[in-house]
Amino acid sequence: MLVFDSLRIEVRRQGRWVEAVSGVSLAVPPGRVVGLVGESGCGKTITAQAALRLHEGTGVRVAGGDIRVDGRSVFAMDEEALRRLRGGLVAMIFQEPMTALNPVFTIRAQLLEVLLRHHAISRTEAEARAEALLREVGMHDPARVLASYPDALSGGMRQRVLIAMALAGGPRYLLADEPTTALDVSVQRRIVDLLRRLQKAHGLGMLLVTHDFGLVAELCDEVAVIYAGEIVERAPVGAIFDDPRHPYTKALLACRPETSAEPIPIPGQAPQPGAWPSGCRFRDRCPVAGRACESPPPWVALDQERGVRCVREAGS
Amino acid sequence: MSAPVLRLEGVRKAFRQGGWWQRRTVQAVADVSLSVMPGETLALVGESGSGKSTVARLALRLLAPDAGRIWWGEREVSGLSARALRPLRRHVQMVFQDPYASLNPRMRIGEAVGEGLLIHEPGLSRAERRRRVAAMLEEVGIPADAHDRYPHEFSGGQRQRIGIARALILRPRVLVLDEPTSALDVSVQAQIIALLLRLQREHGIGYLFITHDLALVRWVAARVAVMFAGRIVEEAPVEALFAAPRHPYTEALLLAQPAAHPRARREETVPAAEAPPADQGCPFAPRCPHAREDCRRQMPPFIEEGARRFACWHPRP
Repeated sequence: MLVFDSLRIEVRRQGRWVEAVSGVSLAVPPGRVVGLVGESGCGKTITAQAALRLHEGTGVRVAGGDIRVDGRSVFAMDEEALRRLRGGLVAMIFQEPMTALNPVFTIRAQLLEVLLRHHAISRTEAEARAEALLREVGMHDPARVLASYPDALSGGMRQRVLIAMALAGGPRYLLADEPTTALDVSVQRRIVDLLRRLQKAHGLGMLLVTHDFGLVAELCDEVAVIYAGEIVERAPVGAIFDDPRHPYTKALLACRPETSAEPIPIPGQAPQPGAWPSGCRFRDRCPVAGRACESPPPWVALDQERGVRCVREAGS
Repeated sequence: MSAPVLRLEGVRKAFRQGGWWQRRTVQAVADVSLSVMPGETLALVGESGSGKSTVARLALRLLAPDAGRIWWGEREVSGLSARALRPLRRHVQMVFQDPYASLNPRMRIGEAVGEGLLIHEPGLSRAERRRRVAAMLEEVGIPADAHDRYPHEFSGGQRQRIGIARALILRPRVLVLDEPTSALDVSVQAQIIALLLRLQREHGIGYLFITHDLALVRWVAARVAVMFAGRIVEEAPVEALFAAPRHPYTEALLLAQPAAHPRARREETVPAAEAPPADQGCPFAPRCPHAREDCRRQMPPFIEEGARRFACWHPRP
């Protein structure tokens, strides 16, 4: 299981550390897809990155809590263990496939590097496996792709290459950060189909970071909605669409044509770390906020699988 | 019935690519006819490379067409020189995709928004211009003190509002919007769409709304034109198009849309080949699951059917 346990993250802003993620707890079991959904600046990407300690050296620090992969703390790992974790047990695919690939090396060089790092195999074996991986992600002509440089490939093909690279180390967990955002709709559809097929075939536990409820509807089993560094609602995917409880979840669903007949915008914008209001962090944008929202809302467990951070759900 | 505020008829545009050693031309816009009525939105939908942004630049006459005709209201502008176009430009304005790139970082908001007035209404006094800018900013929900501030002090959504104010201050009859919300967060996107719908209701502006996001079309437009490989392949009232697409490409686009609910999840769809469009016959034929021999021989003509038209030899039922 991939577990985020009361994770607290701080970011450096104008020379001081301010909280960006406040005690996020999440569990991603193998074979399940968990969506982490919210607007930009809510802390979802840095939460995912912290699982591979990719935040280090970027003005971001973990101030508390833990992330464990199959029981082992990521923060207690030495360099060698971390190197084996990255792309081994836990792989990540990013939003922008061009920046994640190195433009001066061929796909062969980059794919073989990952394969040889994570498996005790010969170069010939690695070659064969690279071809097989590219076939698995739907490339009809793997030999040509292997010989190509990234800029010779279309956006959709680059994303497939990245998915192949993510699979190369034989991961059990996949972190996917807006994996389809920069792509055309028909290419998006093929990448979604591919991710779903691979996730099922390999029994991957997947954390899907996105602001797109369409992607959530397509891929997720469970959803955690994050706002201003806090999880405000958690539910099985069907319940999020049928019966959203947190005003922020409802408001997000009203922001897209798929889930709302007309645009009902949320006023203002998501506050940046350091600028969160006291009490409920959503209260200055919330249509139903009252006096009770001036103190921090409790986490209300609705049942085994559902919970919501809203005072309106408490004490009923 | 009133006349269209923007009309394109049989417009074509090719670009040369490559250097002297391998010169080839790319037909970005092969044959496009469309019209935008006052107070109405025509959505132009297509994938990247379909030529939709070139259509925008032709409609604005930032490019001259190789063939075909363009009208702004009653006035034909296809052959006009830059000089002759200048006084007419106030009627056709533009909102860009990237709110970060579309404002000059060294120009104060007041100057940026009032720039058009300086050109088109040079007789205005400084105070009068400032008053008009303030009123316009208020209309798009930007605080009045923005006048002397710089673009970097504003968020993406606020900059897009400023871009809209800049386009609307001359009271244009048509606004060309090229992916105006695709760089924004979902909540900000909804704010901008709500603003654009209100401004259209209040001022009766015609919108040519270019997007790759078919779902968004439902909110903004009454009619939609679907572009593929430089041509419009289907045009229809929005509800009719969503209910029953006639062109196989439109159908493929609709099938590619993400589900609105986990229950509506489709298992893997048949992946259409990523083949390049054909030079001969129907350009969609190489990717079309329903293509037959005749599709590869000859370009299908438009079939008109009530309020819709489509170019396909074997349309969907």
